[in-house]
Amino acid sequence: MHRIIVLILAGALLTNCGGRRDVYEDDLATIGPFPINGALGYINRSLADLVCLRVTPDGVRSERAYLRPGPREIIEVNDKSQLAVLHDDQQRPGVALLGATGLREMGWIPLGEQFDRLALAPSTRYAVAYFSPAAGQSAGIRNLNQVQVVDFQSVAAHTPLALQTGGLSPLGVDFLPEGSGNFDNLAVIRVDNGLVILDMENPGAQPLWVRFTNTPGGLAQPAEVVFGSFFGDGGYIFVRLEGGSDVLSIRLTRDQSGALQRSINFLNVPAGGHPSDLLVLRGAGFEDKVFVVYGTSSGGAAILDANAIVTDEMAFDFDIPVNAARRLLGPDGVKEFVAVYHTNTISGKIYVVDPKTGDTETVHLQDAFNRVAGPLDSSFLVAFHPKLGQTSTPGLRVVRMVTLETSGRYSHRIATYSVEQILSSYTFGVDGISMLGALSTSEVSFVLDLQTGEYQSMRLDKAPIGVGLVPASNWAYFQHANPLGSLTFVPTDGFDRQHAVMLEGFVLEGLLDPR
Amino acid sequence: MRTTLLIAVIGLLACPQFSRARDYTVSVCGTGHVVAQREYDPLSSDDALGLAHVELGLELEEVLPGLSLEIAWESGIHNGNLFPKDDPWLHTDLLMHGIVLSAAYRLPVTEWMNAVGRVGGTLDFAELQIREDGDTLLSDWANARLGVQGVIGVEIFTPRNLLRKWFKQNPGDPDEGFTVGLRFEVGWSYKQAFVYDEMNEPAPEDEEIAKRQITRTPIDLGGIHLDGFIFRAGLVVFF
Repeated sequence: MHRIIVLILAGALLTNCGGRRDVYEDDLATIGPFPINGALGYINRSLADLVCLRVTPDGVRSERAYLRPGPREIIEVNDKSQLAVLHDDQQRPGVALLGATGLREMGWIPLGEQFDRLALAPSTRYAVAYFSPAAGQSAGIRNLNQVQVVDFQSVAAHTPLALQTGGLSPLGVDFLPEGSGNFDNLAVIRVDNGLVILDMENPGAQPLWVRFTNTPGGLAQPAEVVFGSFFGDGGYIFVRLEGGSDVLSIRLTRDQSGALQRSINFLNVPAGGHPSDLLVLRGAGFEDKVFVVYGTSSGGAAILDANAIVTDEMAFDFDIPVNAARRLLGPDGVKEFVAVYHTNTISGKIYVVDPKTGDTETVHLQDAFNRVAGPLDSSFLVAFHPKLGQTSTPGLRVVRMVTLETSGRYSHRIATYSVEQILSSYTFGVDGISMLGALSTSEVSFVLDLQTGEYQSMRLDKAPIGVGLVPASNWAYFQHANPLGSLTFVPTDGFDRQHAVMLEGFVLEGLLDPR
Repeated sequence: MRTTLLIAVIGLLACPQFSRARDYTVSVCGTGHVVAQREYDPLSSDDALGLAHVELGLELEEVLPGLSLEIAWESGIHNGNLFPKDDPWLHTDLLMHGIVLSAAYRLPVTEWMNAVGRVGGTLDFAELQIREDGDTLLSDWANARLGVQGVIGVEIFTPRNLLRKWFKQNPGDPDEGFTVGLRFEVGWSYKQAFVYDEMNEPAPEDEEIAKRQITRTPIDLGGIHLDGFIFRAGLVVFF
């Protein structure tokens, strides 16, 4: 009898004593938010979970999906019908395809390496997996200059491509914009001393290298790459090199077999200046041109011709140094201007250039500003002032392009707003006329109509550390400091506490469910 | 189920036989659960759950010699660390309260030891808190859950006549009367899942502030079963 009892007890103990899984012992690692159609995604890397916070007419609801080990990044692919999750798991690196609704795995694309970055092409069909410089810390020996093209439509990946370059890892990946004809789905990888152009639609094609010659002073690192208009038989890529004195214009064409060809021109910046910013204009007549901002003893900008035809060039001189440019539209949304300024100036001046006529108008903002931002392709600029006037109050000035009723001439209007602290958390609405901001000291958030100057503010329950918009919705979100996740969601068309919803600790959603 | 149980207890207490003087026991024990379910892993690194157990037992000799009806209150808190790595920062507290209503059958083995078997139903409430240092980030009470448990064990006590001798009393029935002892038992406990689907930051104590708060959407952490092997040890006093 006693033997039976002992056996029962031993069995009971054995069935009960299971060790705790390591995932609960390791540190908590979360990544997010990832803006997803109508939702925000958070990856709980420790538990290999995806938590989706979806806004609905009734509020915000959370969904959770189990992922394979090592989730790193999430993007929307295949015309936003699917989500792709990059996994950098040591055993099985790859990309999982999930249904955008339901979050069920629909496909798995194994990758040759534990890539930790995924750059998505505008078509959303292809992406380039590559390494960040930090990826080498967690592996024995690894060539970080490898890339692999992922085709989400075919649920397959091209063979990994090792780039022979002296840099640690690729500096970044850019894509030609959609609507580039035969040149859609080209990826341009910036490496230490050149560009590698990949035809993602043609896995068998050799990549096209554009190698830059290092100067005696240092490496020829591409600092900025912009794309001119591509149509017909080709187009231009403009490159600014770190510390360089020229702008490179690379003409891309295809030969009869469809292989990529390139020719390079060096565009000289007037007066020996060093280019600091490039801008491509979209208006007719600017297809082969690039707007270059450069620094000299004062400041200058020029519209350079990609073929280095100097007679077409237009140069602008300014009475203060400048280092940045921003595309600005007239109130009709068509007329194109360029705002040229210095990102950290004490003069408070912004120059608005009409690239067609060469006319320049100076916007006097009275106070020094240290940042200029604004909605993309809009007629608004927002300057961020550390101090307004003789006070110590920080502020914003909104510059709005207008058409003068009397003369029909383009001009500008300025509106000034004081804010209690230097604004660091802000974003612009997709409508192009609203700005959302959050002040951490007073927990105040606001939505400002850049057109009318009207604003609504609302006190949050906790100090915000970030602000953003939920894609394909009219909801804004404010992030708060909380390792388990903390967000306040507010509809922009009902910007008050009654309509706001707060979620806390959502990273632990489903923590106790068996896994 | 609960109503039926209550009616049965009241009915038993209302019986005329119940009015006679009867032996009863009081126990103070510690109960150790070994909870092997994976759901418990986030809350504990060692599968253990400890509870204090205070029990009152009434002998029901008129029903069956050796049978007792027992009611116990169990309570305990289990602290754990979640994602501690090198520096624990996120703490979990599982606070449990429960009632155990059980039938016990004692079989005297010697004049100083009984073999005991217990089968009972449990009704538990449990609060889960997730804290970062002193701040409670999330908390929720799980509704009362029913369960069953069965244990077998022994009670080792001072022989009653020895005790009478020490207190200079006449010898009497060795199976009846006051004595003290220890009880040891092992068994199995099954409980319905505790569901934490309304986890939220605790509301401020000031009602006015609480009313003005932005609406919180609770978080669903899922459910947890606390089934498993149990062992219990403690002091028992027979009256």
